[in-house]
Amino acid sequence: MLLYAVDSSRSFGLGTRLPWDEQYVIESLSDSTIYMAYYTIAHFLQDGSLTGNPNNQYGIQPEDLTDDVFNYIFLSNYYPNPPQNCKIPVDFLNKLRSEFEYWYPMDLRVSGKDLINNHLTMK
Amino acid sequence: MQSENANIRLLGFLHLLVVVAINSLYNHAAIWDNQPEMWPRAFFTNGHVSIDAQKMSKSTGNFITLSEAVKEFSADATRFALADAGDGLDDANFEKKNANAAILKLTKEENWIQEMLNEMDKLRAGDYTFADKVFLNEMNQAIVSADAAYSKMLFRDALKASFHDFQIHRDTYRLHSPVMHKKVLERYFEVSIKLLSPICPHLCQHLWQITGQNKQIEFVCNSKWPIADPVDLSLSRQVAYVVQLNTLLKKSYADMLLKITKAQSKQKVNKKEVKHAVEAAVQLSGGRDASELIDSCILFVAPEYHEWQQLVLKLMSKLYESSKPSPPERKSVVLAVKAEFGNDKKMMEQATKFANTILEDIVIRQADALELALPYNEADLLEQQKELVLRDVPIQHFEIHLASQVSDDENNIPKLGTARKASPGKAQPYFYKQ
Repeated sequence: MLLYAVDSSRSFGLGTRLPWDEQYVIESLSDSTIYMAYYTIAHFLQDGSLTGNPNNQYGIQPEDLTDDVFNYIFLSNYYPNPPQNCKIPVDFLNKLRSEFEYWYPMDLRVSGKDLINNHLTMK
Repeated sequence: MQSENANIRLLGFLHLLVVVAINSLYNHAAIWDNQPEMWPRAFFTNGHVSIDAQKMSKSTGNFITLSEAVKEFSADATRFALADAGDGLDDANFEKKNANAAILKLTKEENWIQEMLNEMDKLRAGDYTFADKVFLNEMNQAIVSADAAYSKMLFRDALKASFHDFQIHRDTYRLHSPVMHKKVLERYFEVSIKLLSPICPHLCQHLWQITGQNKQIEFVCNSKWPIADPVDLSLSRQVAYVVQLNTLLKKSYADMLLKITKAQSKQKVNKKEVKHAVEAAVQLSGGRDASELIDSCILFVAPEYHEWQQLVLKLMSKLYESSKPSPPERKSVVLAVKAEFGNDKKMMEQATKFANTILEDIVIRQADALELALPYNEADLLEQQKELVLRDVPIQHFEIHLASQVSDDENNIPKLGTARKASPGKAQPYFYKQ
């Protein structure tokens, strides 16, 4: 209900599907309020390549990046223990997690004035 | 009506900002619901960037990438011009001219510091002069102003406090201190480099090194923000007063010159500017040197108001208590004056006239306009600063007199008229030919 109230979900278009109810897509502008969390670890995974680099320094492959892995990195309060059956060594996971916890939260979210209008006109 | 619209627009904007902020906060609160420390701490919105007052666009080709700008102007000059471009929701304007000018300004500053470093052993030590104290005070003010501007992300104001205004104060100091005080100059190195370092980090690190400050802390960006000693407002006022008096003297001198020559000639003169007035006067006098007409000046100083003036000021202070920061209403002031001086019509007129000048003064100087005495000795200040006071009037003889000491015999009538106009913080010049 709350998601309807703030218009942060919809049933068409680009965006991430809502994990617990896949008929909804997370509204993209809403998505864009939180994706900066990924920037804190992106340099390890992309390693200079816009499309990702499978030869990154930890040898992390796309298929290794499961939801459990992201939960462990970003949500230490809920997922204190490393995921089981994970191909990425715990040391690497801890490195990613500490990188995120060091850089987040944002001290300042800077936006352009045109983007304010986008947020308002979204329906 | 217009301001009402502006208010509505502002409210609309705040609403929009809140929508964005709330949207982002909701999402953060949903994901890190038990970790508020993970939520964004602040939001900021800015306008577009235009180049040389033109909107950037690919079709017009007035498009400049960051790396192009850095290559053309250097990182620091680019940042300098960007800081100068403006903040807030108005569109910022990046001027290439400013970026080019920044290269020159920064190079000039580097050369000047280098030059001073070679002359450190020729500088002064010991007690501070008035000019030293004034400049140290301006530096404290610059720290406070720059800090306030940086905190609000108003980079144009920060640049103004850290560089533009700072340079003016330094140049004024140099003008009044042919030999500078070593400690004052060292303080200038520390404060000016630190204040500018967020905008021009590379140059400031270089200056940090050549001034030897890297021996304590290697990088300027790791050093602590300079600590401002309390700003001496009395000193700031003294400086402002001396400057103001300098202007008044310039104008009075020209007026007096014109008055004398007019009395001797029937030609009409159109004096629009002070400079022209002096020229016109010289012309009127048939090309005589101005020093043949005026060569002396008495400055009348009144350390205290007359008793009746003090009474008016006290009445107005009471009214100001409830009206500040705006001046009390003219109507209520007139009523209070009437109640006090109602019996003596002439006195009441004088008091009302005086109250009116104070009302105007409150608009400019707020509570200072109601002070019964100045926080400094006016006569001493003017005696010490007479060089600056008289800088623009060619006078051979100068004296400072207390207004109350002019005797009222016949010879003194014109002097007496001038002396009576003097009040604390408003010295009056009397020009004449000896």
